Amino acid sequence: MVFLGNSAIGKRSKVCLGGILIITISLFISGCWDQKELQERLFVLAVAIDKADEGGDSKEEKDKKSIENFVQPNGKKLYHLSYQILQLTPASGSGEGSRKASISTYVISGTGESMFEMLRDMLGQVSKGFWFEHIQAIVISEGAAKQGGLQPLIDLFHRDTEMRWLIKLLITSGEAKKILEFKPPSGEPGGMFLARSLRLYKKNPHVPGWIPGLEEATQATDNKKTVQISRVELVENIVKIGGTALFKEGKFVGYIDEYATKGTAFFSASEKSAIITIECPDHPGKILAFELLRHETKLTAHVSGEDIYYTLDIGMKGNLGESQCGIQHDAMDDAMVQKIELLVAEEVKRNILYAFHIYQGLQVDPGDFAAKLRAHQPLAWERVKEHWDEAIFPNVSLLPSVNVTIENIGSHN
Amino acid sequence: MRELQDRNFVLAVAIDKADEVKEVETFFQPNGTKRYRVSLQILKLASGGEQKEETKTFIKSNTGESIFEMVRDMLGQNSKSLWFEHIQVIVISDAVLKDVGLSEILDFFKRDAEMRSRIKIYVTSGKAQSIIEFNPPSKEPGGVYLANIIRLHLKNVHVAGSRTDLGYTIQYFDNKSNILLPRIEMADKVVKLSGSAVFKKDKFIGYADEYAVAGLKFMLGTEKSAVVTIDSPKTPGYQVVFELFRHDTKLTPHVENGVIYYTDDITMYGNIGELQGDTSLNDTLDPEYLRILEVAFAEEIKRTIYYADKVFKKDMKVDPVSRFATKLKSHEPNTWEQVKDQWDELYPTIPLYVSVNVSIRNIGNHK
Repeated sequence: MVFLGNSAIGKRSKVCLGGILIITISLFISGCWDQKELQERLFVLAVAIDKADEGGDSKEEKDKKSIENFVQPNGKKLYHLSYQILQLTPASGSGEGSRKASISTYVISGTGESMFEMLRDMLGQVSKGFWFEHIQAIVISEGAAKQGGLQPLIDLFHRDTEMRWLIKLLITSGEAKKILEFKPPSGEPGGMFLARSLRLYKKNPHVPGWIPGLEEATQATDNKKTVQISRVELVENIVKIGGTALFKEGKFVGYIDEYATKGTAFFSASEKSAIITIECPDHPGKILAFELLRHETKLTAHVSGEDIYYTLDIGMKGNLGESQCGIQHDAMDDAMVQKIELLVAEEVKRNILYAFHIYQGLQVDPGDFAAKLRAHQPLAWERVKEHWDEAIFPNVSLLPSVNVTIENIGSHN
Repeated sequence: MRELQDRNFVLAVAIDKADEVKEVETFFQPNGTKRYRVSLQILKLASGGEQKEETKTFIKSNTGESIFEMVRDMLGQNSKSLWFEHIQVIVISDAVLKDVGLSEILDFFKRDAEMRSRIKIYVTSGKAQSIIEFNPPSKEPGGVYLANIIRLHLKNVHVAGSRTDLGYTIQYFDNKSNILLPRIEMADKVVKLSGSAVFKKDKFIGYADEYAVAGLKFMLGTEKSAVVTIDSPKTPGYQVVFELFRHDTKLTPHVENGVIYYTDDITMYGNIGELQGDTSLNDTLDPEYLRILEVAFAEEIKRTIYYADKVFKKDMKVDPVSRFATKLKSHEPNTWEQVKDQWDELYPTIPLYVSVNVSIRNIGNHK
């Protein structure tokens, strides 16, 4: 090189070498080798899983299903899988014939047993490849969940690398595909609407917020814990999330209502805010509402001889949110405020025990009780862990103690 | 930080009786019954939506008893949290008010820190939800449209709109005063604000029609402008219209030998606003004819006031917005102390003497 560097040939060679080097590097760093515009991708926003025979019986529906079908070498026609796909339409034209950019969704379906096989067969219905990185929610119908449990339904979603852990899970007693076809009045794509709705659990304890997604469901299944999934229902044009579906070892156990869901939030300390209503002690038939703003909750496992029991100590602070006794009340009266505090505490206790007894009746530990015993009383846990759900948990006692403080009353004299 | 389009702004609230409970939209209630239906009108800010129809708002509804509990449960139907700082109007169905007091319904709005005092409150005899579902032809969001109607009360004597919002209503509750709220009605695609819902303390009594509302505004001097019509004295069957611009109104209580009565002295200044008869017969350039018209207008205004007085005194037995009581309390405190406990029974028997003087300034006409 020293020799070349001193000659005229050497200089030319250096220039050539440099040029070749630049061209070669630019080939690799362009980043365009797999470029695909957004509108050329089919983003799947939500997934619905129904039983294969669920849905319309009309001739049109049946014809549609027969086209969606494929010949299956193995397995049966167990599930009806639907994808909600984001349609991005760019703005085009100018003047009168112009069209604004818009976002909408449409739903396509397939029938089979393997989710992966159905997915690949559904490519026969579309012109672009599916992209799963942006799935927001998976809606499972009760029928599909009862048919083979949760595991076969979500296996693909936690095995495939394209899927994200934050996908939300929902369950419905009706047809799941219908929920994908619902167009929210706010104009958002349906999948986004469902996922965002679940994020409001902090203010709405009627929604189980603490185990909302695929990650938590997978973890709970791995740890042999109860899986709790939000319930969503659609009637006419109303979609509502509220209540919980319980799964034990992957099997669907049943639903619990909003009141029990709220009770669960109280003993799991997963609520951020809540509205607790009581009947006014002085004006029967009139409602008072306490708005919970802060709480300290402690669930403790105790073992006394053979007996296992739990204490639940809760301190709640909040405001008087509503008093429908209206102007008849003097909320500045300390004695009155104290009376309301005691009644709210009683109502919280009632709510907790309502939820707890439902879990005992279903022989399903929501997760908190076994975990506490294992952590704090490992010896007792070793003794009972084999028959915890069936024999021990339904017979343990829960002793709640609730202390409520009303800080602001929102009224004046 | 939260972007505007990530917030669900509530623009209007409707409160109805829960005549039909849809299971999907409601929840299991530990206390209370399914007594009310609360509907929220939410502003739609997302662009490029899926719906073809260009509406600015959409409605979500729920049933229950505590309004706070219903609102929080409604989050199960929404993807974004609800923001109440921009509520424009609360529409209440009178079916609800026949069962419970106004203060019970408004308690949540009065107590919560997110609410503003300038929220307008209307009462309807029909379904309140239908009114907030109405899409105005002007394409404004429904709640904004509804709230803006009342701002025109200064020129529309059929609407008693001053001091009827949430802040003033709360003051009336605190002062144990009677209340008047504007009435709103809807039929097909017509929404109209006129007349008033009358409350004794917070109990709904009934409606006063537009004529009684006009009379009350003249009586208390709360009108800014008004249009008064009479039959033309020279060409019967045709109308002459007086446009009021300015007025001096004085409602005074008197106590003589233990007898209470009120006088209402009014002087009004304005123009001839419209004359539908033959202008050569109705010669408004003739000062004598103008005097005849002034007297006729004064008579008509008196008649309007006496009509309102009859409606509130004889039919409803309610001292409107407790104005007569306030006057007596400030001008004749000793008498007030004696009668305040029986005021509700006494008020319908107290006479009112009205004297009206009309002065026509401009005629809008030439020869």
